[in-house]
Amino acid sequence: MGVFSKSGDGSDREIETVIGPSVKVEGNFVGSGNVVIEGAFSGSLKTSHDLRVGSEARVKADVEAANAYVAGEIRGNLKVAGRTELTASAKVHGNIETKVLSVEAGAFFNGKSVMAVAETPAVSGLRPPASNAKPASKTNS
Amino acid sequence: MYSYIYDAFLADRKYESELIKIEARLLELGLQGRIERLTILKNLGEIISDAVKRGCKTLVVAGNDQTVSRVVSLIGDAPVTLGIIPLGEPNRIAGLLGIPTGFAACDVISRRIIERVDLGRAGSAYFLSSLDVSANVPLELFCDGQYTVHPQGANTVRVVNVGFAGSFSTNPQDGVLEAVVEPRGRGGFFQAVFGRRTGQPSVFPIRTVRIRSREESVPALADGQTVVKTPVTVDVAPKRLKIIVGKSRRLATRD
Repeated sequence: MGVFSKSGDGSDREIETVIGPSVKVEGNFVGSGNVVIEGAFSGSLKTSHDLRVGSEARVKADVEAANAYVAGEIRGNLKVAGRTELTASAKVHGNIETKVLSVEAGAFFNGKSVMAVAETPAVSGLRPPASNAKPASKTNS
Repeated sequence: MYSYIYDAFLADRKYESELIKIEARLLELGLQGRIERLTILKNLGEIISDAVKRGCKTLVVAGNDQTVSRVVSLIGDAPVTLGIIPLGEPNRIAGLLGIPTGFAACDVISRRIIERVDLGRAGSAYFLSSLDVSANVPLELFCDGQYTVHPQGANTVRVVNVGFAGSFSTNPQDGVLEAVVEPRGRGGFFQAVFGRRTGQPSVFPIRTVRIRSREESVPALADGQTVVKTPVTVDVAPKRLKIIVGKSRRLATRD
């Protein structure tokens, strides 16, 4: 997945929106490709693909994406269907609803985290104690 | 039925032998047709509409990128297929379309592999490559009726259908244009002092964009030819142009 690639080459991108550092964008953005934000965005943003918020980015919006990699600032709620990754320079003021959350040491997150409840083997394997315990023996004297 | 338009610069003697070879080959292939040579006295728009009235189905342009752009801007809604015989320089459009220069292009025309490509439309002017606005006044781009882009500082704004340079991909068959905002001259020292990557262009895939200046009206150049003035609405005309291409075409570019 290009947005989480450490090398960041994005070589598998298709239609991609790039909000560079030399622009400010405001409004309601609805897209179907990857979105990379290195500048300023305010409003609302929705994409069915991945979102990357660069370390210099300033986002003031509610955001929806398939996966999100956040290294900059977001003031708003995130709703991510898959994985959300906050790097050490991330600053999120808002709630995050996501399936998988990764938070690097140093990230700032001030909000509520809502995650899908995953059924783990430890939980599902619990059974009530067996009822075949031997009764205390009675001694007949 | 074929019609041919030769750009004015082909009157130069250095093209004479090549044109003779081309015309002989077209005759061999059964593709001969009326030839119009552009001069300053001839109106290209009238030549094109006369050809269409005569029943021309294939209009072949002999010349360079500028020649092709001029014809595309005027071809509009005409029901013709465009062919190209690349001569002179530059010929990047023909390169993308897989059309070899000169005499060899005749066989490409004969094979008649036809693709439909998008055109950009700025007002009533069509363009094949891009519309460029290079102004020192603040601009605003209202994209797809949804969001507004405010370039900060000195930028060149381009609406691209077929891109030749840059760090983004283009495809003239995807029904989408790319609105590109490129900072001008802000790398190097500025970047070193302020530590910001101001050189990275912004790219917005759009179907329609309204470009306006917050101060006086500024000119926008469509394919380096046609001048329109802001405010201007630019939109995509999907699969508007039928064009003869070669086997080695590379329409989707990843520059």
